[in-house]
Amino acid sequence: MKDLVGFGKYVELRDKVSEQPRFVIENGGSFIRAADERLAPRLLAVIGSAFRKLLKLDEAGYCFRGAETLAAKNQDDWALADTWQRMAFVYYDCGEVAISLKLAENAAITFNRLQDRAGLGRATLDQGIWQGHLGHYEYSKQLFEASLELLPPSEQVNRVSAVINLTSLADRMGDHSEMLIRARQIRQMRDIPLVIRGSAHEVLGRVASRKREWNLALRHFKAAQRLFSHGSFSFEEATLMVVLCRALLEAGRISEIPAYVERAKVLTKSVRNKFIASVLWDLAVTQARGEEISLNLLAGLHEQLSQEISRSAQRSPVSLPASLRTRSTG
Amino acid sequence: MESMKEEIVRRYRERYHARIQEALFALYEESGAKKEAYKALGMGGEWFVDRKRRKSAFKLDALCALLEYKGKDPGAWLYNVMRPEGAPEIDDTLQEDSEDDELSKINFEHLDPQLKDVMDAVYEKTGFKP
Repeated sequence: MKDLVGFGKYVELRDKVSEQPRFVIENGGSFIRAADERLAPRLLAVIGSAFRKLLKLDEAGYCFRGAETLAAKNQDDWALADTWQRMAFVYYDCGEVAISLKLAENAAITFNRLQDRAGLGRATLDQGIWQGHLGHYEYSKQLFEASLELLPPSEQVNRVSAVINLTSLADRMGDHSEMLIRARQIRQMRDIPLVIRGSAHEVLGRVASRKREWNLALRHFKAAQRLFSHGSFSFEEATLMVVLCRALLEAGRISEIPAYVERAKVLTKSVRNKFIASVLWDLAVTQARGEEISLNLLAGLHEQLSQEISRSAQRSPVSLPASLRTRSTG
Repeated sequence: MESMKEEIVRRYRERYHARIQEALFALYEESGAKKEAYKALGMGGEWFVDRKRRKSAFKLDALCALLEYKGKDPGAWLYNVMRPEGAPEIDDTLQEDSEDDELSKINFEHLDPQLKDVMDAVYEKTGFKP
């Protein structure tokens, strides 16, 4: 890439997607105007990710579709693969996980051909996520392990994300010794950005819950909540509320639940997953009526929620943006 | 029901790949991308006749995006390339009122106002109107 100034701007914008998506969107146009035209598809894909981060899926869809067409026109295979990798998350949001997986596979093939080891590592990590959502746990684990081998130290965010995913997966597979090993690995990792730090605390809290170390679990969950709340990660915080209420319930600290239900009530306004919103809303309504939250009711809701989330791979909680509707798993 | 694109993929898998390769060569040659054209021709074995079918699906996606940019309906265009001997060609122009074209017109009214600025910047920079 000859345009070093433009490339620097691209990197600046890319690195801000996770924590400052609004900045990326507001400055996207001026960055595109200032950079070399060959960087336009890459910048457009990054802006798409920022819209997706703010749950503006229609806007994200238009950006990704534009980026894909421009990249194909420029014969910029790297930009094409990067766009597919980012676009996969919108399909995931809409319950189309099979398409997400296909996009990540295509991205991996391209990065491999371009001998981009870091890109291949990222695409392998994503394949692990989508395979896990499709219930292929063993294969998902292999992919996460492979991504850890591929990702260089400069990809610390994705390396941490791979370990967090391995910990969650071990939890789901009932492999507690693996879960503890991975949890220890997370604690040793440094330079983790805010949202990943939140996810790390959440998974460490779940590990502590398994060991029935409630005080430690709640400390982790509350740390996760502070981070999600500070970074305005509503979706992450809303799902955390359910996990947190469950831990309080099992710890017998019922009187603390209503405060989190109140918080959940505020968060549900911006949560994209309608089912999570409805569960949290039910909890809130129960509280508003001044009824005592029954242990069985909460446990039942938690079970129902877990099942619904695992089923969400097969259904569409929100409709696909019009701009992305033509793609199939063909 | 099988969509046009799905049918294309299926028929490709039924050994029409050589004709796609030929068509891809013509497309790249026409657009002046000689290197890619010769790659398509000379490396057909690796490009399109890959043993892993998913690789061909990837190339098909890239090809469809390129065709749409050139104002052609990918499904119809590929049908023409692969149609059986003697079968008539169909119109492969992206129609004004086709679903794809409707989708490509962005109605900014209900969208984030910043999206328009982003798309305007893309148009100013590249001449491409998403």
